[in-house]
Amino acid sequence: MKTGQILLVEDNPDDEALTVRALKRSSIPNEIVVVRDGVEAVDYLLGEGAFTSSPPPALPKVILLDLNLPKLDGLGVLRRIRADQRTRLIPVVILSSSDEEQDRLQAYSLGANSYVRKPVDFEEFLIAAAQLGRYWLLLNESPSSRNPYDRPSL
Amino acid sequence: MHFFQHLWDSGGFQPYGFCCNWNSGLLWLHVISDTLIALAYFAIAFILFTFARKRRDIPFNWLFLLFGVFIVACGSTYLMEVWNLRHAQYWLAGALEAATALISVGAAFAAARTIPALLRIPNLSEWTQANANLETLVAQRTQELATSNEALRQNRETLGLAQKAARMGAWVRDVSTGRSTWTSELEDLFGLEPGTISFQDTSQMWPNLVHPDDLPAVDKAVAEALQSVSAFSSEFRIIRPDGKLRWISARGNVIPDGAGRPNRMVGISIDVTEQKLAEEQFRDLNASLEFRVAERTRDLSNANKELESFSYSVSHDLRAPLRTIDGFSLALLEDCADKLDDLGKRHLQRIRAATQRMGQLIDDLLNLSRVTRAQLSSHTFDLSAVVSSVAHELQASQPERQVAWHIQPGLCVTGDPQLLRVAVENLLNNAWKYTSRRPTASIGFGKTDHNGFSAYFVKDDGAGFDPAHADRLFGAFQRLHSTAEFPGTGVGLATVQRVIHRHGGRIWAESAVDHGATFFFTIPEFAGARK
Repeated sequence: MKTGQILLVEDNPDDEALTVRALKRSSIPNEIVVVRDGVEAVDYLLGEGAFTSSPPPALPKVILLDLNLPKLDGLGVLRRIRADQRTRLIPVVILSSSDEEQDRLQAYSLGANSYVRKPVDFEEFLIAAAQLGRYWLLLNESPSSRNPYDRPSL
Repeated sequence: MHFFQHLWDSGGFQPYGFCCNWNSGLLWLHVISDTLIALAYFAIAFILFTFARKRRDIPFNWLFLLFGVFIVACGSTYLMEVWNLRHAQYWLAGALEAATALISVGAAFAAARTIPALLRIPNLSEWTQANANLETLVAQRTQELATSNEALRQNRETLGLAQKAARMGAWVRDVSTGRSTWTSELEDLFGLEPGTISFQDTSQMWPNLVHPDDLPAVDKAVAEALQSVSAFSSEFRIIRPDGKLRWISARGNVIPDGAGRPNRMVGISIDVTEQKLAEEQFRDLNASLEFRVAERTRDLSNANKELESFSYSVSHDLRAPLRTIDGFSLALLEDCADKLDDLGKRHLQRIRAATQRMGQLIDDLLNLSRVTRAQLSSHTFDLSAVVSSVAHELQASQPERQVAWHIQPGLCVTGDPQLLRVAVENLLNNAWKYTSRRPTASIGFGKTDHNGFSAYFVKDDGAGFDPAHADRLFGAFQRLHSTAEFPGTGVGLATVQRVIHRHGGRIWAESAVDHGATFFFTIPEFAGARK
């Protein structure tokens, strides 16, 4: 996984399709993994639930997290990610329809790295997606390039 | 001793009878005359004594007594002469006469010395005159008394009327005897016959007059006033003989005797039933008002919560489908461009335009609701600086436009800086928008006097509006121009109005078509304190 994955947490298939389309249109080559609710997102990242038996996942380079999610909402997912040693440093970008101040404040308080409001105008959304991809996948340096699952053997 | 023996001695002298040759006729003449004279003298003396004793008020009363003694002495000398017709005790007679002489001289002296004082005693005509004067004086005084009695009567009448008018009566109570006197007006207040309580011990009646619930409090107030010899005041209900309940307010004072002990209580009592009823109504009204305010506050707070969750879901859920519509319209245009003719493409463009417009409407609505929900802060800040900053942003967005800004500097207000910035942005955006069709424009901001109070204004020389529609100006989604003419959602001015109203201010506009528009608004000084 030399370029790193993008984990997209999005329950709305339309939004999922549009986001994926926008990222692809912005010539971002990275693999996009999609999970459709908050519990699935946490299970995927922490190797729990349906993902227990699967080999430890490669941690995504960036998580694009919607706030309005079934089962566990985006803020709950964020809380779980930040509470776990393995995932607490992964960059999380909140992608939301809402620009309510309380959402932004809570997201940043819980350790979100960025908050982007999804514009209605798809052309604007394309621009936003392209900028996001470029910034988080190319420009931004992760805190650690080492995969925390690759522990040295005892 | 020798002298006294000598005094009773005839000494060999001849008695008077001898001188008369013991002629019995002559002797009897002397005896009878002298005896009568003596008796008459004694009688006069007795009369004088009696008079003096009975009229002790007469000045120089002692003079009568002195004359009495003098006359008795004189009378005794005549008796002595009768005695000496036979006995010739001339020494004794001489001694008697000497004593009489002494008394006579003394009396004469006393009389002489007293005469000037006696002369000063007024004579009868003077007495009469004095009497007449006195009578005149008495008549005059009687007249004065009648006049003041009449004045007193009028005063009493006026006082009575005043007491009646004030629904008030006066009372006085003797502390030691417990007897009270009430004015008839007070008796009337209590529903008693006039004269019922006049020097009357009211201790038996009192518990029947006062409402049993209030009696202990009244008695306590009276006892405390008596104890401390101080003013007394109490409000209580009475039950009149006709069964009617009235409220009485009694005030009085304890008047001490010389030793500082309570002697009398004096005071007034007023019928305050009407005030009490009004107070009660007022209290009821207040209570129900408070209840209603609490209810409204609860409703309002619920409505606010609902609004908040509504906006939240609008913010999240309403925008997502729009994005889908727009996104897939664009995808359609891009992915199936070869299958779509120009008409189809134009339709899709219309769909996208409408979607974006709806997105804008939602955003504006959210802003409007945010303005309503936001907690109002209070700061004093330079509104002119905010206006300048917004003006710079507008100018920077379209640098090619020729707009002359006239911003009166240094106008400070107290209010919520964020919300007032929103208001200013909307007003300036409007001015900027509606002057956009002019090659050159002028936009102003300042403070002016409007019917005695100061109002801020934003003035432009743009398209203006028909004042006939001014009432629709501040309604949400109300527009006086078509979107083709000037774009907009019609939420801006509704937002401005809400911001101003939340500050306790007023907003209004003046305009004429093609002659620009001026928006006035006020921000009360106390807006900050209202939070």
